[in-house]
Amino acid sequence: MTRTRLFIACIALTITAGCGLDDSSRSPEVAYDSALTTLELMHLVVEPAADVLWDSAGWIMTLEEEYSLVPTDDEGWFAAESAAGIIIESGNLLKLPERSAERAATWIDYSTEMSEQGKLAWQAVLDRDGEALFQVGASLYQSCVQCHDEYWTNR
Amino acid sequence: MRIFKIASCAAVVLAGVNVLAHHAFGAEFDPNRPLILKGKVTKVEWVNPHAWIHLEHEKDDGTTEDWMVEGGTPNTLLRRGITRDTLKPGTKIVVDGYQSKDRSNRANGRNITYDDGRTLFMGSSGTGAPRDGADPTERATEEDQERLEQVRNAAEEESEPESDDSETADSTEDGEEATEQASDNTVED
Repeated sequence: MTRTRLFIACIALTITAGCGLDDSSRSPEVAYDSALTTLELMHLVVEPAADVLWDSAGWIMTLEEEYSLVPTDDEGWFAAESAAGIIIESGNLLKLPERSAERAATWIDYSTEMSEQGKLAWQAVLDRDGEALFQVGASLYQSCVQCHDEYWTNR
Repeated sequence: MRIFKIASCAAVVLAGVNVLAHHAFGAEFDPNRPLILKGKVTKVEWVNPHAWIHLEHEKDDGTTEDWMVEGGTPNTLLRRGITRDTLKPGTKIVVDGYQSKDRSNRANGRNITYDDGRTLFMGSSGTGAPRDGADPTERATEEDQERLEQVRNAAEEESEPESDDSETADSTEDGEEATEQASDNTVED
């Protein structure tokens, strides 16, 4: 009796699993709307977010005073957190087939690196660590430069 | 008109300069407008992706002019010995670089020279700036140096008193001034 139940359970699991494999996420017909060119994606999405991160750390020194740019309230930190989120997900947007298919494998590597830098920025924001955010700002820029060196040569 | 011709000629010569990075040199700055600024630092923006130094440029006629000069990332400046402490507002510096394309008082900095004579590279590498020998990570080729020499000579010529050139219609006042600054290629200690 126990063996019979076990057998039926196995059959049921197999059928269920088979149904799972047939869901739409596996379909090649998924349509991505990449109306923005890669340059527009950079200009309208990535760059403004990166600017928020860069403007959320650092120092301004004048003849009269010196002050830090690190956020001092929840609103400022949320803006930085939101920007970090955009950078993380933008790495995925760059990997969409419409944007990556014609590129070399390094395109995926650079896109992954962008997301990684976004995650580091996110962690720095969660830790409320202005110095870490400043350092990520530098490494984020380096990752931008590396990719641009290879792929942005026609400006 | 003459300054326009010189700039056009130099632009052709420098057409091979690659523009590669975010905030790339060629998007904002003019490789044909080398200049030298000297004066007191009034403000420093120690921020990514580029530090900005504001200074009160002392002109030959004794007046001053506010300029802002873009440098590399703060971390790269630190590695070259340029720190927040050595850039405190009030510090006297000499900066050589290139003016912005829009002819505003913005420039891309190449070298910074302190009162004690130390000259340090303050620019960004790999941004498409002219290979003028300032960046220690780049080796300027003979061809690069020749190009730069041509641009600087042209600028120097332009700053000399003219006796036989009546084509001045397109020369702008600020253009003449920037060229005059560029004519002095020797950084004074």
